[in-house]
Amino acid sequence: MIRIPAVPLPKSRVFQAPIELDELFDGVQIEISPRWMGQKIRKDDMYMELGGPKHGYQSFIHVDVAKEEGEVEDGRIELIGPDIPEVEPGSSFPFGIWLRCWGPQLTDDHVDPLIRAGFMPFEQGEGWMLVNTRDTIWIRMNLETAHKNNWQRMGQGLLGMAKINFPLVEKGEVLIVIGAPEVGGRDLVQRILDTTIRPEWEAYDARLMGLEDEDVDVFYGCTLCQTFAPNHVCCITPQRNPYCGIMSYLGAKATVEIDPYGYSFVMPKGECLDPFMGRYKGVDQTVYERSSRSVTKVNLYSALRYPQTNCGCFEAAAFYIPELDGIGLVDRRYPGDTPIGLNFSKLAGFMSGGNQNHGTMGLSIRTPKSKKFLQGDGGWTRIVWMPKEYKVLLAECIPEEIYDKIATEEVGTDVKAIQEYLRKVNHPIVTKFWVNGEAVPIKIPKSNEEWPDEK
Amino acid sequence: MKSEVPSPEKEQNEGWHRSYDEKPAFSRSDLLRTLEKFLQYAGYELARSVPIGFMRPDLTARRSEGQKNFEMIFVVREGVNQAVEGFRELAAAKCFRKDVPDYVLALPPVSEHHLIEFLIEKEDWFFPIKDHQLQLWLVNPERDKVDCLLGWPRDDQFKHYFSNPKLAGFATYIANKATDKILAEEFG
Repeated sequence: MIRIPAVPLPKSRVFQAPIELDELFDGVQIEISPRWMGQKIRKDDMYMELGGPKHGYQSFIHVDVAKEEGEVEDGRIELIGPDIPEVEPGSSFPFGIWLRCWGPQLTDDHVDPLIRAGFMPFEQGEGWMLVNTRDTIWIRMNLETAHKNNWQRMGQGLLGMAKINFPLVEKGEVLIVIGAPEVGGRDLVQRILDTTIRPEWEAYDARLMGLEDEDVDVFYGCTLCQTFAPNHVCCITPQRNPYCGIMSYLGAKATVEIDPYGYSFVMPKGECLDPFMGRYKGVDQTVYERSSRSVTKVNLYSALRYPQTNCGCFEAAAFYIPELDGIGLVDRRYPGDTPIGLNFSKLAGFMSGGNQNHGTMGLSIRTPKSKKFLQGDGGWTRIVWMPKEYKVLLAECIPEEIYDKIATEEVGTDVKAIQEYLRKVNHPIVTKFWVNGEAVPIKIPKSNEEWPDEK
Repeated sequence: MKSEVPSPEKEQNEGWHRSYDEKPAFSRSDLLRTLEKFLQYAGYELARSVPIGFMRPDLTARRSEGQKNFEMIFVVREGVNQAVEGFRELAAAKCFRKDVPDYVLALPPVSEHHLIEFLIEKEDWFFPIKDHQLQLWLVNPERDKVDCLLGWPRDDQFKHYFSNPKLAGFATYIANKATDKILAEEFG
């Protein structure tokens, strides 16, 4: 049974969901199908809203894995607060939904994909809208299907989807807290978040951030985007999240465990050929086999030499600026031109499609937080330009002594002006990479071609 | 104060109805052939396309299973630059039909980046597509593969035939990108 020692819970109602496999969805009246993914429910069409901006993002969806079988009462649905038919149309509440699962092979590593598997009744449920995750979660249900829903059925849907999508789950229970004023409102939800849920998330994130590429025996790969970019292979390592940002290393590991023949797969590391550039024999072999034999080498920590191929959903990009012999970063949200005369849209158009484009690399928003970020190219000492907003977003991971020396659009996008600025602020690139105070451009090979010194 | 009027070229390339820098990878007839083969393999009978109101589909397919009847209306186009026109055809068909077949736009494997811009970043076609429950499939004649990218057919058996059924999760990826637009629409 889910209990929160730090927060006394108000009176609740308990329902029992079927636990036999062929009865898991008996009585669930909404259709759960990819057909309903990504629906938008406008304010005027909404029966009920949970979490989101109106409540200062003080809500949560959470999954944990029980250590002992006895910690889970299979099929138990506990509801604190009003049921769906009991609220006025147009109502909005802070909320929390906590799914606890147990299985003999289930571990904390499975939490990421379990959230996606379990919360499908919201993500793919007829008449539901789900945006974001964790405490930024925002859910709406529309008026049209309100009569088909109550929390017992939704809880049943959650448990059912967790079990059928994630066969390692043998038992599950769910606690649903609807933060109506009569049960303590936002204060109740926030206390659960602050005392119990956030510390669990922080511990999970710290474990993930603490993992180094050297700590693991295998990496993982993903070819989900080959429908768009037929030769693209994404390499997922503890220090390199996929560009799209939808998965972590642990998430990829769990995905492969439950679906070993799916689009995610094990990428053996093999012999480490170059620890500085991040080149592994096993990675080269796997990428070669899965890229229709079009990519022979990949350096995990370089945008300049043999970078990973790009699909098209990367959230940001690194690009070489010849006149500065430096690297610029730009994220999707920045609308202006970069120092190479292209805005993100045009740059991404050039980079995407699954080719190996030396001198450019797709990034997830989190990639630059990796300790080995572009290590093979000089790391942060080679970064010379990025949009101001993106720089602020990454402030905590940019070395303090370099932060102010990286030019932004405020300095301009004219390479001469940036050159002057880099000299003026004594950017490390001036002494580490430039020759006699002048940038010497490298000749970058064309897409999919080899570097002359490695032919 | 003089307001800045975007040049026609800028408007065309940055805003709605923009033109994407793409060259058709496959002809419409190649796409149609692959799609027909795929649908037949999935147990569908192909029907002669008859006009539906103002439009004429490129392909109509039907399958029955017990009491269930599935019907699909397809419009096939060669790239993102023709997608709005393709969806408009499907929307026109939907206006005329009172029953609920599946309405699908089939494209070749277009650039994912262009598609993201088309659906949410430079244009906003994602919401009308979802609101009207239109579908977007990608057909690759070279690899003989078909995938559903947006929406999902009423006939769930397609999950056994698409080369990558998980690709339908793309809608969630786009929807998360759309959060800012939903916020702007409702909260200003």
